[in-house]
Amino acid sequence: MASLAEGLAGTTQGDWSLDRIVGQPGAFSVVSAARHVTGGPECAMKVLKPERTIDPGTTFEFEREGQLLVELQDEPNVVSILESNTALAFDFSHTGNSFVLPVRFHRLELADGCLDEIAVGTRDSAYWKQMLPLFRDVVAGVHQMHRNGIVHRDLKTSNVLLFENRPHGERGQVSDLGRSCRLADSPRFQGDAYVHGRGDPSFAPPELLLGAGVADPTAYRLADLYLVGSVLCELVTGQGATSLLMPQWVAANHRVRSAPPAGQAAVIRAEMAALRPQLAMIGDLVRSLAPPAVRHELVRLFLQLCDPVPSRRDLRCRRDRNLPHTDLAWLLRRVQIIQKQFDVSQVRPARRQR
Amino acid sequence: MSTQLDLPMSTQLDLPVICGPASAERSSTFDQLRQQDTPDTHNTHVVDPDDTEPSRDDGYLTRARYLAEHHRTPTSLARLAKAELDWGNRVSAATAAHQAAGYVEFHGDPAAMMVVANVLSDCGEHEAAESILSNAEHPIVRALTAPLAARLAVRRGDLDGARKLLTGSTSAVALEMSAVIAIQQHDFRAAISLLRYAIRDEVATPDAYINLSYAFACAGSPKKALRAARTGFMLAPTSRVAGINLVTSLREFGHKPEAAAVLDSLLTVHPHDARLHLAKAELLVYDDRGLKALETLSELRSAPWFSQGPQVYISELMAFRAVVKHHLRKSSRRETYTEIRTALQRCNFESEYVARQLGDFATTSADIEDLNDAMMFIEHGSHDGEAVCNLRTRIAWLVGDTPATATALREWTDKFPADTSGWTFGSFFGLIHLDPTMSEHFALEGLKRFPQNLILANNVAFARALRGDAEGARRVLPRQTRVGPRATAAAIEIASGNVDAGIALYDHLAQQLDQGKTTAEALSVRLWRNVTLALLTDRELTTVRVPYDQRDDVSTTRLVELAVQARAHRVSQ
Repeated sequence: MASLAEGLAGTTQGDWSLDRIVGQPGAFSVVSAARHVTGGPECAMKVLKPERTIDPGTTFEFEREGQLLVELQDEPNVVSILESNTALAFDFSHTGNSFVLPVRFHRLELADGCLDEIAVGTRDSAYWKQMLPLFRDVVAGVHQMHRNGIVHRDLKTSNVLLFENRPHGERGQVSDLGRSCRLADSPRFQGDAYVHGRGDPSFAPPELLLGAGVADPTAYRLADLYLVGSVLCELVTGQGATSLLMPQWVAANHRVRSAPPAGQAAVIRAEMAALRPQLAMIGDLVRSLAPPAVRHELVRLFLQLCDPVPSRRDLRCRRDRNLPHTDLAWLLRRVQIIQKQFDVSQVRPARRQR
Repeated sequence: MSTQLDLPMSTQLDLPVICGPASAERSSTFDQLRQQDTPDTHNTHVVDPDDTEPSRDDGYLTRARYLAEHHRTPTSLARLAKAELDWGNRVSAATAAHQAAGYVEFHGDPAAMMVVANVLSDCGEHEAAESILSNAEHPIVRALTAPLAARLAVRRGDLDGARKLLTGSTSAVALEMSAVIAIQQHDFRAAISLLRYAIRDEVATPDAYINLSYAFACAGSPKKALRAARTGFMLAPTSRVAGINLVTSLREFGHKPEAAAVLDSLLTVHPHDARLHLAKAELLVYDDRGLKALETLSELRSAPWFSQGPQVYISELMAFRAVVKHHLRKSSRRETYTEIRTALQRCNFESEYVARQLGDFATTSADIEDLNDAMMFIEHGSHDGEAVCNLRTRIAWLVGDTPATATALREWTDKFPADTSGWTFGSFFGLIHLDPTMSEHFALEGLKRFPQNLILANNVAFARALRGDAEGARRVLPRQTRVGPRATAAAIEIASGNVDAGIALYDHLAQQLDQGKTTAEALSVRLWRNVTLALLTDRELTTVRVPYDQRDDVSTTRLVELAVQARAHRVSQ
């Protein structure tokens, strides 16, 4: 059944004229392009579905997303929020009846597209030229979040918005912080409630699919690193890392859950061990698809970030060992080097031609 | 003559268990390897308790649908197929997968091919999945999907095709899978080398060690089997398969307290596992605590969880109890036979174990009626296992139909090359018909598969001794044990006509072994003495009591029986 919020397109609510639905309606919210009745630039209005407000958990997350976006307002690679957690009485009409409901919404900068739309497209030389800076933007976005003590926990290309005509060309910004949380906040639930993590099984870290997650800041950060690796995999192959690494994740999860509690840790260890050779083969796939100039570095990065053993995702070279573990400066630097290498490789043939 | 060999031979509960790369199912048996359908747990998808209560988050599914609609490429359709499958919509998943496969660009998108093949396989469209995989030209896709393609081939029953698909693949997953198929094809040497390679190169999985242990055991290397079983159990201390394999190996080496400890630890984790309880009772019998075993079986029989459980387990308990009672001389042969027969009837002829028990019990006597009856019963349940072949061969032999015996024997060894009894019987069959060439053929064929098998090596030596080739006999003398060469040297003496010298050699050797407290070896020597005397002379046989814990060595004890029967046969003729 369509949400009430989906019928808001083409209506005027308060001072805001809602033009059209942007993208697809999400699970908890609907994003519309909106403009102030007096004019001005278009913005994105993310409206919490009224029927979902019954659930306090959803409302809490929506509010928290607004708060986190406000905290990250100055970060260039996180989507900019213009107004957060605003409550307004909206007029709805449903089956011929009109009624007024209080609605919560955030106002965000309106994006021109989403990174997954590029990731499912054709891969030619122009694609790689565009992709590497965008991947750098994703890493920068996560780095900025971590630097502010926030983890994303649901990163994938569909949660990276694209903004065209920026001073340095197209820019990617991390969005959809519905599942994000502050590392300083104490967990909302018992520790064992976090074993399955959150998010989409095509991209989720293996430890969460196997029920080995923990409510721990380091574990959250390492899960984010896997998600960054999965974004890289999506950009290179078009598919999430987990959909290639664990195509039979349901069976693996079933094996873990059907083991007696005392033996689950051993089963998880065995399942994780079996993933490593599979990862190496996916690394070969990434190598075969990545641009030749940087394929070696991209594969190394992918293998590190998507390592089934979380602690191995944070291994750094000697030079980067003194960098803090609380942010991704080391990763950002590596991605920048890869980007530079690629740029240089593009310039050289042109020089040779001259 | 009283050799007290009228006890049923095998009460083993550890049916051959073959485990795969978790991998399979991984961790997983050969049947798991064949099984393709993903457990129906799609509805338990990954969610945090933060949002479990009201409803599941379908955001990723709607996004995948949106993307597939507005950016229609094989990549987006493959993503949609995966999202639909993760959400539990198998029909929609298969539809999207077929749509993706319909694009010309699909064959240039290796990642999409992988996802689509996996989705189709999970949706039960195995043929479509196989067709996609067979058309994959990308070498990495072929390597990555080799385990899936092999699994699909195994499902079709094409084991050779499955092995061929995995050839050249060096990943641990592929190697382990290849090894499991090799085990299924009784190619234990290949299985061992594949598993060793997998273990050396990659992070070890418990399944690899469990399979390695099984392959070593089948290839006749019990020590290596024990070592691998220990490692497998160490890596998976709650795995029932790993535990049972270890218990079997430990029991073979007489480490009964350790075996009991393993079973106890498993029972704390799986308190309602009937097989483990039965294995524990069996271990008690092996430990000469038959009464305690009977008590355990009675307790198990009265446990509500057991009596309400599957009839197959109840029948297995009945059959096992009958055997133990007979061993303790609490029931006659006839009563025991009837009880096992009833147990097989009660489980509707479904239990392979009870069928085997019936066959084993029947073959311990020369009663043709019992043998025929057992044969009919076992065949009724369509159990076309080793027990049936054994019975068929034995019946043909006892009725004196030599061509039928040879045919049955050939069928036995062709169908079950991993069953040492077939090769032993064949080599023995040649010996008792004074056909050393035939005997040597069977023994050498068996030795190829079980190079460590003492009986088979001795039979080769025997056959050569009969032919008068003492040098050839000495050349083949078993290298593995210090007992074998000397025992066979005694047999050669007897075959050469120096009966007294041969007997003296046997007795001296048995005495030495007794002093060295290697009673199991001494027992073997005494049994071999009887075999040689029964086969080659008319001398009186000595009394040898075979304790229950030595009954595992089916070949030796059966050989004695057969030798005794052969002598009776010869005398009657």
